[in-house]
Amino acid sequence: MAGKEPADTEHVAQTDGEADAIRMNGERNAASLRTDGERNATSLRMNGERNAGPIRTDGGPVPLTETEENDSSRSRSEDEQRHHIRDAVERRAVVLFAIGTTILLSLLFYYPVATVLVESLVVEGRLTLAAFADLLRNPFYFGDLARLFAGESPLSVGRDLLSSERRIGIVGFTAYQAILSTLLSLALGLPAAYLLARYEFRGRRTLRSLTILPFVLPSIMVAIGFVATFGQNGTLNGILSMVGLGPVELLFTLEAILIAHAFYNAPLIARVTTAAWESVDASAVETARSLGASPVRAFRDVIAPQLYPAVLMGAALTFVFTFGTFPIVLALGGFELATVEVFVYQLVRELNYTEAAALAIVELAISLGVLYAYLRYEAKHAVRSQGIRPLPRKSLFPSQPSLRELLPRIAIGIYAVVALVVFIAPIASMIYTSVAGPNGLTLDHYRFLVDRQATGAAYQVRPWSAVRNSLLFAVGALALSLPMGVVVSVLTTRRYRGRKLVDVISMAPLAVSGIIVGIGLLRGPVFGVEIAGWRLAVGGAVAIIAAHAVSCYPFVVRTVAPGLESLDPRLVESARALGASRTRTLVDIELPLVWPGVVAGAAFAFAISIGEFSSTVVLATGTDQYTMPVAIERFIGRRLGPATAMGVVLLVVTSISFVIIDRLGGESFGL
Amino acid sequence: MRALDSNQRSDSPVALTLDNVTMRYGETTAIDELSLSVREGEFFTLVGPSGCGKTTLLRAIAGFETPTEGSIEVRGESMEAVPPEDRGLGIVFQNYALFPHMSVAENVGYGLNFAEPPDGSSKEQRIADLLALVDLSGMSTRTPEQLSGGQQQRVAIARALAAGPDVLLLDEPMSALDAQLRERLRLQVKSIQKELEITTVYVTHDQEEALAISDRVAVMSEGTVEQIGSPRAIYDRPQSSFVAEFIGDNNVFSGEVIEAPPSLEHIRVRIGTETISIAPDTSDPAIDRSPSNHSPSNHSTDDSSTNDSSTNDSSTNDRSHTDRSHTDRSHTDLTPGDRVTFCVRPEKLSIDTERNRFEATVKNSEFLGDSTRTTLEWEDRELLIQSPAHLIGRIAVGFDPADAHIVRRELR
Repeated sequence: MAGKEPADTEHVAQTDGEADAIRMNGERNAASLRTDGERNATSLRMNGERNAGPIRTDGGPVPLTETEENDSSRSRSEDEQRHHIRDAVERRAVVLFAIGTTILLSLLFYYPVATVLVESLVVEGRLTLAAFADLLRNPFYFGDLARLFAGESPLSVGRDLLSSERRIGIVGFTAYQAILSTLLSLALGLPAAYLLARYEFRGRRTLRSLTILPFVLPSIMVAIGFVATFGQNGTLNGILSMVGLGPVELLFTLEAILIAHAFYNAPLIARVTTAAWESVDASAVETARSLGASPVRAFRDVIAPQLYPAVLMGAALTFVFTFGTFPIVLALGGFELATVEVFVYQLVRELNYTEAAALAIVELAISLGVLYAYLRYEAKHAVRSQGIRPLPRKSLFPSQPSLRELLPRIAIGIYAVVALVVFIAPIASMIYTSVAGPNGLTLDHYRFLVDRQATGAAYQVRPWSAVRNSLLFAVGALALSLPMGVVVSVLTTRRYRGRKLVDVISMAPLAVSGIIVGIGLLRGPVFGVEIAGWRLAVGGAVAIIAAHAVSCYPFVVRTVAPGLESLDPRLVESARALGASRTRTLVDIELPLVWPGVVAGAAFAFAISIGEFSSTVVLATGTDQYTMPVAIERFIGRRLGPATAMGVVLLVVTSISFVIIDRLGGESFGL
Repeated sequence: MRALDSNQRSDSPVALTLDNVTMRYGETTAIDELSLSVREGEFFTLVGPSGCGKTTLLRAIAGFETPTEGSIEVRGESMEAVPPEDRGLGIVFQNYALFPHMSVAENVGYGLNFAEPPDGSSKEQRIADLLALVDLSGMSTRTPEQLSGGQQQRVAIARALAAGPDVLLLDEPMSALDAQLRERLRLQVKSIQKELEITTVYVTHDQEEALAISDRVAVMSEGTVEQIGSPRAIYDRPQSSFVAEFIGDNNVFSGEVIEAPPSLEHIRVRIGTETISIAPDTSDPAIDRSPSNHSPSNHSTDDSSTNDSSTNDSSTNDRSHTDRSHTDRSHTDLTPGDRVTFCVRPEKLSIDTERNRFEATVKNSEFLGDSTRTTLEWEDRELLIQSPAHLIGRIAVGFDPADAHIVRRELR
């Protein structure tokens, strides 16, 4: 069967899982019946002595049965027994690892999140929805909508919402800026996808792989880059004053936040859309053209429908990411433009944990709602066309361009200038500011970091402590998240009933903000839990590592799982038919083949941990467990120079991670 | 004309038994109460169109799928709840699935990590022997991607044989190769199988391949076995119109009996306006279906082979209940008014014969090199004729009544 029917594959799926389940239950003693002796009988025939083969000469099946019995009694030696025990452990290794990962995930993620939920629901020892009710009726959060929740008539609320004096509250503002950010990201990301998918030029591959960079760039570092660009004394105003234009005030405006969000999310949109565009089969487009469709019509009818799902995925993720935005708004917006997440942080600092928890849960509910709606849509519209022959790329610089060819290229040129400003300026400004002094270039800011380390007071942020903490936490988080990620990858690429559920449970950390995990860890394990009269409390460092591991391991899964998924299942089946257990197959066949993905996942995890801000800032409040990003945040208001210097250090570390990811597994990254 | 090679084996013990295997996936039934058995050292082929369930069945034998009902036994041992790695079977997939990160030698030796070489030799020696067997000595340090398709396939076979499996399973191992290579490798596979006398179950959709390579063939359709028999029996005496048309080209006719023996030597059948004479099959097709029925030396202890024949019967008859099968009444029982379906191979139609002559119109013809295959239009239907001559226009063709083979009877 050359083309295996999809239904057939599905069959394979179910039964393989069932077989696994049976094996895991260990009902397999019958297997040992096929003993070495019997194998020898076969081998004799196989080695040319076929006329003397025992089965043949003895005639009939009776002797065969005898051999069998003899052998099974002989095989019950102690050696065999020991072998069987080791075998049984090995067979269950995957299960054991799965249980271990489940326990870790529960402790590191679900338990803290549950703590937050309980915090919001239990007030003075009583279960109540009061905290939520107060939130929903508070116009400070929900604006005019709050009156609706308070029982006012929808008509009057609706009228006020349409009027120009509407109030949208913090939640409304958060959604509003998320929608604008998404639109801006689309506007910046889609032309990039067009350029990357349809044109050939020098550096295209590099540019394409750079789209993964925002995932590893610490958001606080991007924030400082924006401050260095758009601030009062930023590079933008510097350039403007040079050409005689007045200073502009972009910092602490919505525009700055939106541009920073686009910096983060446009590459994501470009990335997923380019991938979809590249998987469009050229022959489908050519067929449409030969049937009479114009290029525009062919785009609309054939290409666009295959891009929508990717664009929508990028948009949905952008919305969720920007809805839960934190460090960027904290640094660029201040509290005047606070989003929900920033306000949750504010409440935590005011020690108002109940309201913080309730607000965080509301935020989570909205984010998950959007993700769920998207996943529902995706499930219904999933069209996976495999581009047998991708669309050919046009040269970006044709030798003799016609007007028709010139127009899109001019557009690309304009886009390139905009993109240059948005993507390059912040990084360049940060680097420039870190070495800029009143009298030309200087290393003063770096020197300041060194001096502060030597002479700083105990309450001051010491740079070396921040670097050391960051590295320590990253190594710890890596040690936890790498095995977790690999195990989850294995579990989510196997086929069995309930796989989807495992997928959702294990990927939830991607959707839950670091703040929630941070509060949960702070209020639970760090403040201490009473178990049977013992008060258990973990140190801040342990909690930070836990929080980092939780936010890192989904990225390991996203780099390892696609590799495992694309492995030919026949490889695994061949190994098993040759006698390898499921675990052995994993070690011998699957992991060696996806090794680059594992290393890339490790680099990812390391970079994410180094740049993690949300949960760290919650857990490190008032302690000396601060990391580089937290140190930058503490510097940012007062000392821009040292903050940018610290940012450059962070940039170096994450760039190294990026190079590793790119060399080893960026192509297959599943986002 | 009975298949001698399979007769030879009728007294061999049974290596593999499928008993009433049913595989359902939700609403669809992929395999429906299928039973068959394969003897030690036999080359057994499952052939059928895409989606007939042959690959599913092979995967069930290997342990990658679990039957909903029924049992699979290897050498009398139930495979229920036995994971694939403990079944002691060798499998070769269509794409070979060589481990790309291992050398040829490591691939071949992989199974020896879990079992001693069956001949008691060292692992290295065993690998060398197998590579010699498949003509790949000197290739041991290469990686799979440095090999051609045919070489990869031979490595896959060597790998499957290394630990001395009880049964070798081959899942369309030739279909990724070009036609010439396929024929050469077919011979090689067959000769290795003969040399090792290893029980082999081969899955293919290529009926020509199935006929060329097998001791016995099971023709499958929609999850059931249509017919099991030697290649010659399958070709010469198909027991259903499906088999008649799937195995080789065939012309299937269906008509009403006008006169039948004993009043006449031949059965006279009316098809449209024509009347055709066909010879009553003197040999009951059922006889040839399973060689064991014929074997006087049938061991009484060997109830497996009797099993085999009975399961064959049930599998074919299950499908043809409605035919009121020939086993109930012999052919001579045909009486006027009965309906009969029979087939005549294209090469048996001739423009030279005087028997059963009728006029037909040439629709088109294909030049095949050694002959020409022509499509004729006759009685609102198409017929195929294979002849040395190039035919045009309106021609008279006929066939010897003895060349007609009855596949189905509907008694009045």
